[in-house]
Amino acid sequence: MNSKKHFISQFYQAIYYFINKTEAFLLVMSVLLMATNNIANVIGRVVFQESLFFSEELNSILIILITFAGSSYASRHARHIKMTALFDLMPTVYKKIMMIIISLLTAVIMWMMCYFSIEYIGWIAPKGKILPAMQIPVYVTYLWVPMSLFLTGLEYLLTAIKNMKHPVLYLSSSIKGDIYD
Amino acid sequence: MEMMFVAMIILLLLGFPMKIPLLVGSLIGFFVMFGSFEHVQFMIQQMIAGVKPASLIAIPMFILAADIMTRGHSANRLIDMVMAYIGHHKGGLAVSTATACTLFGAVSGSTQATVVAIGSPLRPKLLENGYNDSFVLSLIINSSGIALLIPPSIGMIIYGGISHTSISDLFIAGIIPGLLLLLLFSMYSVYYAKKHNIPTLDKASRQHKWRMTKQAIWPLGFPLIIIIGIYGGIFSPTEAASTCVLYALILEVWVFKSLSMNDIIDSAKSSGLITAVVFILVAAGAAFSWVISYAQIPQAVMSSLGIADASKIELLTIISIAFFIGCMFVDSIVVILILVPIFLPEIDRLELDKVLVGILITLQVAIGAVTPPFGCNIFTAVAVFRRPYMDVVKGLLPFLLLLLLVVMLVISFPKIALFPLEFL
Repeated sequence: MNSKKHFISQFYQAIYYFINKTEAFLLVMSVLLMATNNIANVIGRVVFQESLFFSEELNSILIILITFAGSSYASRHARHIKMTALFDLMPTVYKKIMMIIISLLTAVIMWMMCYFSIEYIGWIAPKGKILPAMQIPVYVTYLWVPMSLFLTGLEYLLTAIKNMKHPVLYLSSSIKGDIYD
Repeated sequence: MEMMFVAMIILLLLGFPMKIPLLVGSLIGFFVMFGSFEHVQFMIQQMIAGVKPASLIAIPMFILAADIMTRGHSANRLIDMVMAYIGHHKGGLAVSTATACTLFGAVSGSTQATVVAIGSPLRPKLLENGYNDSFVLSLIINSSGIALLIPPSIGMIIYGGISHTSISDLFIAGIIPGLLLLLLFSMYSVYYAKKHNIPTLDKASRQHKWRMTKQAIWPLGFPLIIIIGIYGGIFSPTEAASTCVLYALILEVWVFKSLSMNDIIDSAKSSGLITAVVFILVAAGAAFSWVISYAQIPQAVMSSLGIADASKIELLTIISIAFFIGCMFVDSIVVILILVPIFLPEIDRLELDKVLVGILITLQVAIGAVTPPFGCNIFTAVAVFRRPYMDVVKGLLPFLLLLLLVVMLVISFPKIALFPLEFL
């Protein structure tokens, strides 16, 4: 029984590590690619009087990736902006209870949005719209949206579980304590 | 619809991540409007469309350029140059701090980055010279707030995107009010130094001044790229931001040799993270803005407040008060995302100059950020300098009064902000 539990825990940690690393990699690559794209475009336009024909489309693909993949990454690292003034005044026990409620409700909203975005992709995909310069179907560039929203919801659920199982306050499933103290 | 706003305020105050109040508000609004979630895909469509405008790409690029510079040597070189010229005058060290904050704000566009990059090295020197800590902390966070007005300014880019106002015009119009604030803060610093008889620094030799100027010439290229590039019609804001990234890389990697490849990767990761945190709010804000304009909520809010037929000055004052209160409690980006769509129809009806409104809003954001109880720059100072909250708050009043003076001046004489646009 114990070894089974150990295996599940290791499996969970491996997946967690993989998702975290993948999202960090996507973030870094997207930002560097976006910078390269825009620098090349500005040099092209100012020096050679010719813009890159795909520049704007590439930017929009990358910004969607950064926004949604980054948002999931940010939730794992407890970096989303919050108004914590009242939260900070509460005793730790209430902070924990509030954190569980906040995390669970946020997970529900994230999964609702995930479901709605799958519906959106299901609605837009059959229309067959294609990015004119890059010749990629538009819906493909949106696929990261439901995936990231799902992962964000999962992270909040894990945060709630961590707070239920452990006596200390967890701000995300891996970050302990009160970063504002 | 009252339920929508009540739910949003409760969720905000309880400490939910700020995207949640915006999304819940939008979902409630959608449900009330259509009676079901049947066509809710339009909300997702608005969220995705909200982050795609080409003008918003300037934000991640400015964030990346600022991050690269904050990790490198630019800030110290700017500080050394300013000190060499102003340090020996009465109040010179405080004026140098305000000037270096403004210059670095013009380079980085970020208040928090300026507090860390300029405030951290200068605070010990100010304390050593006999300045009171409350004055020092207030000086640092308020002077760093000038970064909001001096281009590049993230708040202005988001405002420009929502209100369809030229971001270049907003950037140019922010310069004079920003410099006016620097002048007023400097005058107060000199008065403070005289009143408390703070000693002056030794005068720098001509050779030292020249050496420090040579060192700072490279970082001074950033404001030139942004201001001359945009003012001269060479670059769009996004292009200026991308050029700043290239310039920052050349400077910190090749010229100063202060950053390695690993630092660049860290910088990209941290910039991506900050961008995501801002842009998920922009996405949720776009959905919210779409829902409330579809349901004609702004008009309902205006008439329920009895200000549906306000005059221009009245509306400007109401906008200023609303933003002032909003920014006291909540992050400025969220306030811009919620309040701009509410006021926009009325701004259009009265044909108010949207650039002027943008500058006033940015000023209020700067004021709200340093106004107790919840101004976010107060907490930045508490976190960065590890000082008690009350120490930071004690010295704020004179700075707040000066900020309010600039607001009144800009409302009474809009030309202060708008006259540079006449030469475009």
